[in-house]
Amino acid sequence: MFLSALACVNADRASPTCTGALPEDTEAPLRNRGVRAPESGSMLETRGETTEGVVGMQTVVDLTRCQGYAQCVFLAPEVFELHGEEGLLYATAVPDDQVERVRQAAAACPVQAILLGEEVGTGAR
Amino acid sequence: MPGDLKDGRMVIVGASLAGLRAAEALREEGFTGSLTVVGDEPHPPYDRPPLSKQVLLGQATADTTGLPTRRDPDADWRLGVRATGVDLLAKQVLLESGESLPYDRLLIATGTRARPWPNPEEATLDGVFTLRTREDAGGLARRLAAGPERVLVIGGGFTGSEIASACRERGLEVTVAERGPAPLVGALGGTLGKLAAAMQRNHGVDLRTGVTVTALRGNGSFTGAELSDGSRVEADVCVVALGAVRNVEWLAESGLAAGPRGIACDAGCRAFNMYGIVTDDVFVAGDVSRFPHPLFGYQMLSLEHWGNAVEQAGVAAHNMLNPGPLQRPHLTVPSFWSTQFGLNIKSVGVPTYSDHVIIAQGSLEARRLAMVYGYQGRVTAAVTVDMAKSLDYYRHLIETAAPFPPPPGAQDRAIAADIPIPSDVPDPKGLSHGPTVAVTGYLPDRRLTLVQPG
Amino acid sequence: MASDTLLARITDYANRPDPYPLYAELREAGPAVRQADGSYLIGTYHEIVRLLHDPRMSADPRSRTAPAPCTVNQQPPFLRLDDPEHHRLRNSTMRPFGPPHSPGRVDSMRGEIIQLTKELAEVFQEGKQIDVVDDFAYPLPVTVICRLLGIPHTDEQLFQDWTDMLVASADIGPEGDTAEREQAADQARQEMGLYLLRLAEQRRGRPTGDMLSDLVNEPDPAVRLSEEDLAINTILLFIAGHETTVNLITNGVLTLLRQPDQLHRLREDPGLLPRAVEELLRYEPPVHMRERVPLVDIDVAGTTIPGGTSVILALASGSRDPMRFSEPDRFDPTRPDNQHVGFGSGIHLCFGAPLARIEAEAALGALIPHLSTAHLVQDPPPYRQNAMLRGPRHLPIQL
Repeated sequence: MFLSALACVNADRASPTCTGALPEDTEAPLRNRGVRAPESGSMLETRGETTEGVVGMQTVVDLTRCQGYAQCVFLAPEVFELHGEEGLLYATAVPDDQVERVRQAAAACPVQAILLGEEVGTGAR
Repeated sequence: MPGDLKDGRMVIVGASLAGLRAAEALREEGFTGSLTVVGDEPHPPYDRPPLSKQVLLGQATADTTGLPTRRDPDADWRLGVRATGVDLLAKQVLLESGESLPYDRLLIATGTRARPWPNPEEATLDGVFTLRTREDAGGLARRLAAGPERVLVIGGGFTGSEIASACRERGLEVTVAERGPAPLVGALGGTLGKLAAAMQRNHGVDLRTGVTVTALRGNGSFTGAELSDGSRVEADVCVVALGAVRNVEWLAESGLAAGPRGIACDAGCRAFNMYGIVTDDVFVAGDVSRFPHPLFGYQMLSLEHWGNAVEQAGVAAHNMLNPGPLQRPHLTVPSFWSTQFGLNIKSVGVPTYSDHVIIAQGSLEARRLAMVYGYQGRVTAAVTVDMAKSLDYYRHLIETAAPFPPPPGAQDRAIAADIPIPSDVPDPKGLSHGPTVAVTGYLPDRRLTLVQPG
Repeated sequence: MASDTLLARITDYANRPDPYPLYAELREAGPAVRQADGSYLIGTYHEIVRLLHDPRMSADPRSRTAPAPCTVNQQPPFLRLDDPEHHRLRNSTMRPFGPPHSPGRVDSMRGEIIQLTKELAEVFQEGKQIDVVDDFAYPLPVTVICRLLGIPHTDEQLFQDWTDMLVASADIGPEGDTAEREQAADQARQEMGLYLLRLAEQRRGRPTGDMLSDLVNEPDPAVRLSEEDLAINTILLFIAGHETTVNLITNGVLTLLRQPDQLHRLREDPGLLPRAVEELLRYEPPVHMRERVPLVDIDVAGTTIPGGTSVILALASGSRDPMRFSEPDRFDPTRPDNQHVGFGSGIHLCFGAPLARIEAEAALGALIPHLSTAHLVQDPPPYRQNAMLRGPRHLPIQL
């Protein structure tokens, strides 16, 4: 399974930056390492506290690339929302029960603008 | 680092979007050495655009906008630690703790901070906010959720306008005070400035243009403000949205070409020193950089754009790992977006680098249009309102320096598409807000004071 | 062979099983390749994407003057209209289907789609020979689109006959009698439109939760479709809502049976399915070509195409362009950076793409466990006539 990224944020046209690295190999080290801010909450309030020791998934949309096709809204309407005709808002912290849908949305994005992954594991320092 | 550019000690100062993406890109490109990321905020990298949108709307809390990673950059994160200087000769970054971090190559990505209200005493009144950090957004969102009587937003740039939009969406009364003739006019020019003003007023914003705020009032807590036209706004929350200040002060003694408009670098993100000599081990990326762009007369651009931070971080990381002939230039056409009052505004190119505009598709009445900007007969920028799918076409016109006005024949073409009108970009000195993209050498119509480094 | 016969060769039924070498020849011949009849064929990714975003490119067949002026007189559906009319009609039709007004509709159908795929997959029993098209890939999307629009299941055959006639007339290529096909299509379109209007009329004031009900009961007169627009565009939804999905699912089974290692991989890791569907849309897309017409003379990578000329965008070729995709002829469900043009791009990007994705994912998810010992009875399988909407007519497999 791949827990990190599905889409590459700066895959511009034939840009060489994105053709190489597969995200799958980045799974394990991120687990159990993240430091989350103490407060919790989310757009949907379904997430609550993250499971002990497991870092929740975060999403970010490269809205420079986004052209408002809204495929993500169709596929994960509880995470992505169209604001007006083509403005996109989304829950940055993805509720656990929505991760699969966001994964599908990231795969389906016609401009590959959605990145799903874990927050950086900064360790304790 | 002798010989092996893929090894050695990398230090990145700045732990936000550009710093994170550069760290990832370094690993993606095969860097195997040690990587240290220094950030003055205590948080791992987080995303800022949602702070003025989802967070103020109450749809997300400020502490949930952490940026996902493409891969673990396997870095040593020094968070909540301020860098205080660089010793270029000894190749060390100095930290406020007194510690120094030796580096073989350094990336500076310290970004910007919110320009504070100029009167420090008034700025500390309870209820006065700026909006840049997670803490700013959290505090402001809590205050908005408590249902203030009225919010005063000082500055009608993108941030100020988005804040006003969020307030109206939450049903809060809001006043926007802008020194210029209209909101967004500094970034988008006169025509779209008028549209922005109409949108604000239609959505119930009390928009005051051509005025400045002369004083913030309150006894401990903010109670209102006085305007230059003699009027007074009673409000219990004030958001100062006067643009951004580049985080360069820590480099004052460094000998780098760091000034109020950012740190000058070449097209390959390599920093210049104060004599204009390019360094080969110090790189710059993101909002704090200032770089030449061939599409805009090789003038130095200062951008405050999310996409630029991502792109430039990638180029900088690549160039940190590769010898000269294999380095890449940062040539991306500037682009940004804003969502406000139900409209999606997207821009490519440099709208302020223009003398005329035309509405190429759609219309102001439909609130859906593509506006093309030209300078001396060629296309230099385009802005779409709810017409993002057209933007790639106009980007291509900019990239190929296509003649302005653009070729005819577009569907949904405005009746007036053949008649260019002045782009009407005002002098930034007369505005509360600045453009988020600025040509920092010359503006087309007037010569600006050159900024001295250091 | 001469590059000006490429379109004729691509549409030649003999080449239906494998048009990809012809697409490679097309890309080699240049970004804009003039055909003997004066039309142009575009097969490279970047030019296709650029033209799909170029506002000077009309989707309206009535803009065409060459090689032959368009003979269509009645108004086309929004798929073949330009802005602002396209925008107005697409938005009105979108209201009961997707965001911003109905963001959850398609997502809410996941459960019944998965249930349907389970039921249909019951015929996939060890030792049996079945036809993937007739037994699975066809009934699934037809049932889904009928439920979505609110068409009684009992009238399905009626719709199938109309659809066959309309799809045949929407093909390109020299074969067959165009006038006769057009006439049959006109007849079908009229009958189908009248049927749908009658159905809509029954739902006026008595909504039954389907799209037809929502469209006819739209309270805002500014966005409510006229009767004519309602008929024209719901016909489009019905046809586009299943024809291509049949091909997508069938192509998926065909591709996986030809590549047992990938079949195995997906069985082991169903989490790859969303990306496998995207890869399928790139590798074996259901829509191979779309026509556009420049409203003025345009330049495509140094070639001037006169206004009014038919321009065929070979989407399936663009998605296999080695200048854009590494190892484009390899089916790789883990391919990163898969920005294919399987659903087109720009303002006409497939209206029903999310529904097709969910159906294809559910279908393959239900079938994959049954396919491990299956093999193709006939390879290549018999194809349907249509070159634009390309897919097998039947796909017999032995379980």
